[in-house]
Amino acid sequence: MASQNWATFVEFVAARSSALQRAAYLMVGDVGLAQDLVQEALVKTCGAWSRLRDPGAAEAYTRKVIATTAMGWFRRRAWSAERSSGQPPDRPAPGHADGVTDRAWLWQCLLQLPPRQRVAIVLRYYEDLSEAQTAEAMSCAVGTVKSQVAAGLAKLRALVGDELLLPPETHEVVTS
Amino acid sequence: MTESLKSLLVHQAASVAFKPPDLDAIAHGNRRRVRRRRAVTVLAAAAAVAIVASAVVALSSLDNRRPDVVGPLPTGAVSWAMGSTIHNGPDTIEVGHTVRAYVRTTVGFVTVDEADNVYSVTDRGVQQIGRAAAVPKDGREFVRLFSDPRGTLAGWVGTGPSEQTGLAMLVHDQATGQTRTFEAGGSGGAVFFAIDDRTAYWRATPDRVVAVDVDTGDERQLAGADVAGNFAILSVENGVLAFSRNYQPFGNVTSLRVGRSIDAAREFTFGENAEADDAMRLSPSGAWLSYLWFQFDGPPQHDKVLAITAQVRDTGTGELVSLNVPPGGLSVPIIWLDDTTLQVLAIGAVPGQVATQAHLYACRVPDGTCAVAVDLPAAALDGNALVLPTGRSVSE
Repeated sequence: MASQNWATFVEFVAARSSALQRAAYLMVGDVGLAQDLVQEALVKTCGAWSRLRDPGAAEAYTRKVIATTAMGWFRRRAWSAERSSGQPPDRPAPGHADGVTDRAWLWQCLLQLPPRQRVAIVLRYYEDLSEAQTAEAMSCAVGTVKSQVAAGLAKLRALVGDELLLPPETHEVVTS
Repeated sequence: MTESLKSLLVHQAASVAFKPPDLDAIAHGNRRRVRRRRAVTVLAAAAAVAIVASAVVALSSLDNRRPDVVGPLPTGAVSWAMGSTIHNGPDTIEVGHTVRAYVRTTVGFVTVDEADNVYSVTDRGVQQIGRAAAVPKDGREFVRLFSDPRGTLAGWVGTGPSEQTGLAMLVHDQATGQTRTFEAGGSGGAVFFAIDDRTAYWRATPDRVVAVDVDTGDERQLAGADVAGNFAILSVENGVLAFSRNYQPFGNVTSLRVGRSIDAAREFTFGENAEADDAMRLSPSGAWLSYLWFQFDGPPQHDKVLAITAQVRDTGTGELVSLNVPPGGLSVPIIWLDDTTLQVLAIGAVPGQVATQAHLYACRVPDGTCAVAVDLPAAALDGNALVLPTGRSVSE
């Protein structure tokens, strides 16, 4: 990579790597994995830097690598014996639930979602991407994004109950 | 609850700290090492299948037990350990401490516990014989034990007789109860590679890989300063060495040589876009080599794992032996029980499905027939409690 390209790439890493790591962490639920994931994605972004031109395109490219790689990792983990119990974690007992424990409990419930559903929810509700942008990041159709998000939210509601306050649009039943 | 999903995500993401990306590694394109090692690590965790939390709790209560009278000794039987119990064929041996890793010799077992204490387990009882030193690998630290299952020696990297002496190579003879200490120096880290009969192989200083006669202390240099850094001995049996000249600490093995000397060794390749885990083992005569083989979907920018297979090669001809373990799952070669029988861990899982069972098989070469030796409980597929006689901890 030419020195000028390298300098702009380093600027991009300095400006956006924290945000990318946070999103990756929400997708995989593990700090170490998230760091590896972003490191991996940045290597690929670096290789493609000369044709990405602007930071916006670079971020979208990197995000796409992160999302698809995260889903790939999860596939391998499922293949190699890790399992999701399918059961919600124990909820804090009434009277002990404050904001912190509720958040922790909700986070554990989120981790119970299948990887594609969790990645879709993170991209839609943390990254604030449109359905079309989410589909681009996940390398899938918009309809798939809709169904993955709907299924994920339905499962979350089943796990945590209706008192979880979701953004209004997330209560829509989406079919596709 | 007043948390919205959005605020949960924002709060959770802000609650953790991250290291900045390694720009130097990016500049050198090191992602392949990281990722492929990660793939192996995940699978190694599966290979080191373990038991459910309830079982862990139950077993943890055994840690304060006094050791049983140690009866049966290694006889080439299929072996595994969980908690403080070593299972050896039909026999069980309570050793009185959590077995983090263990190896076998003709006299007994050598174990290491969660506090890095090393024990000798023989028919004379359980005796602490030293402490292992954790060595860095892939950004974490591990302890390892080494032995020749057909001999009486076991070894590890530990500390010398005083704090000032730093790391040392320690070799314990279970036949005599004596432990010899060999000083290790330099700042490059000490690496213990293997024990074959009365000879130990290690890199005690960064610039030399040597074979050491444990009885006399005589050293024979195998690799000098020009190549020692990336020279790794992966297994030695009956004087036959399996080694790599370009071993990468964060990666798998991409090329391998097998022979009775460094200069007269046969090169093995693993195929295009294929690699092998470094936990490979020669059979007692050196006639066979077992390892876990990975096929990826392309060069470094593509690293989806397409296939993972337990492979055995005839080291004389290079021919592959197919092992008849159930298809669709993950099979991992563990240790040679004799020159034609390999202990294999098989996890019954298919892509996209949760593994529900695991077995230890005894597989014979060259015909490849396999028979179930131990039914591990389905609950063994959760956690990190199962330990196999490789000298490595489950988490590695």
